[in-house]
Amino acid sequence: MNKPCADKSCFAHKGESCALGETDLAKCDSWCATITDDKSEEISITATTFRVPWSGSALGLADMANLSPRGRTILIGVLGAHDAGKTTLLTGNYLQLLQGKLLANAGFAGSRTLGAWEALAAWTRFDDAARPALFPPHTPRGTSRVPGLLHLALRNTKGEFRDILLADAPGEWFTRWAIKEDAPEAEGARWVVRNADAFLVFADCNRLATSNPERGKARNELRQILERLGNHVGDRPTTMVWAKDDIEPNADIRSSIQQTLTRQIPHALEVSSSTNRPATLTKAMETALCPAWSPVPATYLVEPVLHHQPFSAFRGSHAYA
Amino acid sequence: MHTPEILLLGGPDSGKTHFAGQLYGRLKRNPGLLELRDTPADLSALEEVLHCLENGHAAEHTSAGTWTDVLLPLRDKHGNELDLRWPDYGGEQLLTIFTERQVTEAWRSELRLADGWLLLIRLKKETTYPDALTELANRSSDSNGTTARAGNWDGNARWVELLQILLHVAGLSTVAHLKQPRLAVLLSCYDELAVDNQLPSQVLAKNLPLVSAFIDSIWKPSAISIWGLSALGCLLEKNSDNENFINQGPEHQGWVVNPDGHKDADLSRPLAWLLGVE
Repeated sequence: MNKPCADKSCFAHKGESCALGETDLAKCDSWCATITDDKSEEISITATTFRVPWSGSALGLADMANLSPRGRTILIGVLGAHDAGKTTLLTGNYLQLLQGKLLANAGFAGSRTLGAWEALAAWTRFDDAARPALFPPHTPRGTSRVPGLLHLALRNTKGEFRDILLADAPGEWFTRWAIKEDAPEAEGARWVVRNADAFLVFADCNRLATSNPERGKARNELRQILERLGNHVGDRPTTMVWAKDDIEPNADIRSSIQQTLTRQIPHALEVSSSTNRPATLTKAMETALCPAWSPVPATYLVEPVLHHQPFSAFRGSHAYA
Repeated sequence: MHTPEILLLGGPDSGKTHFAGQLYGRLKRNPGLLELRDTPADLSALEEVLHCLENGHAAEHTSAGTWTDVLLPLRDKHGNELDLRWPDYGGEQLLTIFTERQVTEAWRSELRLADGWLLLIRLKKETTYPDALTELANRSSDSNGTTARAGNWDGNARWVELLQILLHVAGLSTVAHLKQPRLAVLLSCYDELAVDNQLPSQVLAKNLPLVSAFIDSIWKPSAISIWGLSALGCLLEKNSDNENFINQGPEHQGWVVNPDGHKDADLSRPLAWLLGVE
């Protein structure tokens, strides 16, 4: 096994390309800095082969550095309690793209995380009678400070190219964050909320249904997330997704959640989604994606009129801007 | 004289060798848009396939380590002369690029020099999974098993990842539409598919929708063309002795389907399009 490169953002030892672009690793200073005096240690990655700077798995922070210079990236924060259907919605969107469908009026233009997408999609496929198809498994709560990011590149009919990053974070992070904002295990949740361009907040209709004994707890968790998010969201687009809406949530619970939503995040939109109707999964994603597609334009500087004489026109905004 | 480079991309069993053999026969003995000026100096790469086709049976599999090429001295119908190096290699090399995620120096220089990429996809051999999400919702789904599943990648994802790797290694950015290299997609063994009056591009979009969307997003529309190809016109086995091949000659077998849906016996047409000969 190779030692990692001295450069922390380089993953050459994992088979990706050198972060400094050296094709022959023996010529790379960072790589050589890791080589110990022990001559017996053989480095298998020596030949001048050309590699790519992504592995196909979910992206981390170092990988974003490769993507962000090439165009506008849109980070969608996916928030919700454990098992609310966050990963299923993401997988559903990938499966729709696999069918050649458009997302937010844009066509698929590549992905750096096809391995991760395929691993999620593999759960839903009936390829083997011994392994029945299932919904994607629970996203594990890791110690990582940043969630694994799933990537999609899209190009719309006008030729605009966007890198979409989807933060598929474990639900426990947000539940914890809602209770204690600076909890150490909520670092990932804080990162998502700080950096996301748009939010999808999940309400799990199944857990909010009248027949579910946990509905009160579920409502509490969701309202806490909404109340916490309200402090941070600003005017970023936010969409409330009523997931698994083939089950009707309790009417009182629903209206109390809607009240919280209107008070905390007045500009939030609401959509319903269900895996029974795959189109609703893309619709939910589009509700968050479309408003974030173009950056908010800068507002014009307005020069205040101090005296109605051209000579006294206020030029302060130019002088001190 | 301009020596255009064509890169032929096709996995194992996608029909590269048969296409090369049939293309040679066309250029030499039954020319269309392109024809050969002289007989190539070295035909050893095509020796085996030409021999097999004359006898009406299929050629052997090209071994994985092979990389040979034939220099084809061509002339178009306007009298312009050009030399084309036609590569032949074991399709496993393309699989290796995908599995090991690395490209050798030889491949990289081919990728960078190529004026056109010729992508050979045999749709019958691609594994795709029909969308199971809706069916899934009808099942009880409370128990999420914990066993990891290793299942194969969908053919769509495999081709897209391979193209992404090749584009990256060739130093091509995907942010703007690509004009160079031009891309011709040949849907090989087109006779195996049930296509009812669909254009080759529609057949690709139906069978590999993600690949089709990817290609449309990355290349400029004028730099892509999608063709159907049946190099032999029918299925030949290793032990068959097809009478038509033996009597009429292999140069009268096989056809392409133009991007506009017309069948054409001139197998050099996709090549002529890639080289800009109209």
